Amino acid sequence: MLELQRNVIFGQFVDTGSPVHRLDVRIKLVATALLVVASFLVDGFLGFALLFPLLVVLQLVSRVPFGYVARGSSFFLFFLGIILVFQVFFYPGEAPQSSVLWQWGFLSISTEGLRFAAILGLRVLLLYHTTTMLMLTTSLVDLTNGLELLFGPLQKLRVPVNELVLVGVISVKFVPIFISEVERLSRAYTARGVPFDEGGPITRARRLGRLLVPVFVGGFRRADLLTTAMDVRCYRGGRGRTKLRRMEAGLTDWLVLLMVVVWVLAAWKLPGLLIA
Amino acid sequence: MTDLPEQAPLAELREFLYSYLEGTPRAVEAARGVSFEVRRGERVGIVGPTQSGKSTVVYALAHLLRLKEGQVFHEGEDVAAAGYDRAALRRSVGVVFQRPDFQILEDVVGKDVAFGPTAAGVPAKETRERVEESLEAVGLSYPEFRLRYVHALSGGQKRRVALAGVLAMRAPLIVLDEPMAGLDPRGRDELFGLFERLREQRNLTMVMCSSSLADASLLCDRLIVLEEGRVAMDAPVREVLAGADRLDALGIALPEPVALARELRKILPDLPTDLLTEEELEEALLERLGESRA
Amino acid sequence: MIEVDGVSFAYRGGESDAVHALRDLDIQIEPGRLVAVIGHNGSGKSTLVKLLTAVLYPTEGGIRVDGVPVRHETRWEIRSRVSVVFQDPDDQLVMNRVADDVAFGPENLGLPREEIAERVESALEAMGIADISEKIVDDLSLGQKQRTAIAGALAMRPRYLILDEPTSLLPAVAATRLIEAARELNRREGMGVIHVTHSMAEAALFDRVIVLDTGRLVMDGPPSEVFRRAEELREIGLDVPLAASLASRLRSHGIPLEGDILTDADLRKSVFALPRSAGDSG
Repeated sequence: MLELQRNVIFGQFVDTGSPVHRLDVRIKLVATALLVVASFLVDGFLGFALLFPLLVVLQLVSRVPFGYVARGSSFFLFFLGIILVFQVFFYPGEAPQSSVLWQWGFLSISTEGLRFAAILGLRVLLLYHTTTMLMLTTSLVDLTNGLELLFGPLQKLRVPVNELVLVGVISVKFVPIFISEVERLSRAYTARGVPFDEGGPITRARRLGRLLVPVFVGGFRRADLLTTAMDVRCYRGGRGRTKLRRMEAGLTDWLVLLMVVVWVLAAWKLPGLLIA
Repeated sequence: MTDLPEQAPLAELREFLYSYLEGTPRAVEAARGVSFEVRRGERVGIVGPTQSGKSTVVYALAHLLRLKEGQVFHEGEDVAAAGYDRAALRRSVGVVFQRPDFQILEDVVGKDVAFGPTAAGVPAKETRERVEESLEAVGLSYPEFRLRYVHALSGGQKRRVALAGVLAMRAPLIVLDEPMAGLDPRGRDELFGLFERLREQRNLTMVMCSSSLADASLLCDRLIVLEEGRVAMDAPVREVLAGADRLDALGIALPEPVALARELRKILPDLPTDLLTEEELEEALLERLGESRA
Repeated sequence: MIEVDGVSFAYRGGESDAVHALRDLDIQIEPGRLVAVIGHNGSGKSTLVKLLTAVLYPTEGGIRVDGVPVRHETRWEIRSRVSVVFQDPDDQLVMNRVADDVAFGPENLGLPREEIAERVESALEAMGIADISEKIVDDLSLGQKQRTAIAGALAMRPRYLILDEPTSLLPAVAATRLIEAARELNRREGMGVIHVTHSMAEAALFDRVIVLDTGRLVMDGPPSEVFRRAEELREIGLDVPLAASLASRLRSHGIPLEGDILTDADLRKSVFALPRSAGDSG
């Protein structure tokens, strides 16, 4: 609690200068999108088992320490765990009686329920890991430029792409600001005898609730200062903006994309072919 | 502990090491082996350039960090030891933070100042007395301010309320994080006066960190100068100021009289730099310029 | 030329709880000058900065920058002429790499890539941070962040650069270096610098000092004139540089110090220039 930043990685950028960092951002975005799609298409343990090595490779090549990602995901994993337990108990499918392992009133555990929860868990983990790695390895500028280029064609349909992208990216930037405000506040509260590093989860959650108002007041104050600062630097919602950084996708970038496409296809189609 | 409790310093750091975001790629080493003691009744200033580890040291004294065993002691006891009563520590170390908004918990002044004593189980009657006494001590009249809303107060008044909330705890040690930051000269003078009065009225032990050597040297008896997470100097105020060249080399802004004396030493090499006020510098100059004219 | 003509500003203007931040202000600032603005909290300094950068608009009166009236419609024109650096760099750095943040303003102006690159390079050079251009902003020291913020303002190539208390969080050494850099830019590029500060010693380094108190202009002139009015300054909660006040104390003891004494160096020179017997005691 006193050092919340250790436990939250959302919105952080860890610059290790690895090949993943240097990848053309458009390729990176498309590859991420492919993996997101894969997380919905793949429907079996074998498929996920095939994708798993890809994530390991991504993690290793990026040189972002796995321990950091794991600790930073502890809150997320905790909530995911709770949701999955509910999924198991309240599995709505019509499980044949033979597969029910345990029953108490309307609560039951069935092999179907367990399988369903496990696949759901794997889907969410895949989704979470790929998007998290995208953020950890991509600087704000690259992310904005890449998204603007990819969605550029929508501008013809009068979609304010530039504005939407920058607003999205800036809100990502605010997550760490809010977290550091929570940290400072919880330190001050602890000092006044409202300890945040003690007590059970419910006591802690209740105390956290009391923090919200000052955190948001502080956060909005800083958000206001930042938007003024952007304003005086002539930011007009991306209209007529030019770019310092040039983007060029090289052979390596395309090869990486090809690899991801093949890998995803394999994870999607291979299990079916093997069984047939 | 081999020391008897009454002989032990009120607070002590031994080879204190600390890293923020430890175990992450963004880890920052803030303290790299800081050792010092704070004795009862002392007023200690911790100064150093930004990011020299000042705040970290101050937070450690109140156990507001993830501490390891054997580094931080309060009245001779290891505050990170298993079974140590952290709640008791927080009752005996009062912390005044830089931003009062963050430590004021209630919306009405009187209620907020009462928060600490009430949480500590002090009887209602005594709490009321303490609230009155603490508000008066920080220069806010009890009948006038007791029922005021905190959000309607000025920045300087909020600082006073925050300080009153800490005084009401009767903590033997008060720790202040940048008490003067962000105040203009007028607000600064007011707060100086207040600390002077508190210093005369109560025998407080104070530890404050400040990026302003000028503020710290006027408010403290002893200064600890930090550089990149290590103790560079630890001595009575005047002794530290006498080493003006060393302070300058450390990137620490010198108090105005010291800086001016240092400039004048180029032509008056025997001019001292351990000066706290303009008057002291005037006297030192008159001694050197006046006599020869008389 | 910045012309502030009969300007008043009230927050929540027109309502019963209106707060008057500035009252009937007249200021003319010629291009290429070094101007310091001093006043305590609530004197209206920050409001003035917001008015000059078209973040707020006067309730009464008008402001013109190089002849362009400051209005909502002209705000981009105004902001390309007047750049501002605020107190806390953490609240104004937008992008996460130094060079990208410095490029943010020129990118918004829609300049060609080559020109952006050239401006970024020269702004980084001017602030002496070319070596950290690819660093992540979060990993920098406060001083480096502040330099990045100023480089970001310089890359806009403004006619006037406003420094809104950027030195208040810095140790004096870093603050002095910052002011040196501003003076150098002023000398080389003819850029006007308006420095808002609490520090009398810093104000003494500028050509002209403007003193605000509770929204009114109370003094305006060269530092030697303004700081001569020590009593009036103290009445409104301000002070004079230590060297100036010490010089007047020494003079009252009959020590014949010559010339205007505002800075530490001025005092040293005057002491050195004293008749031989006086200066030569060491």
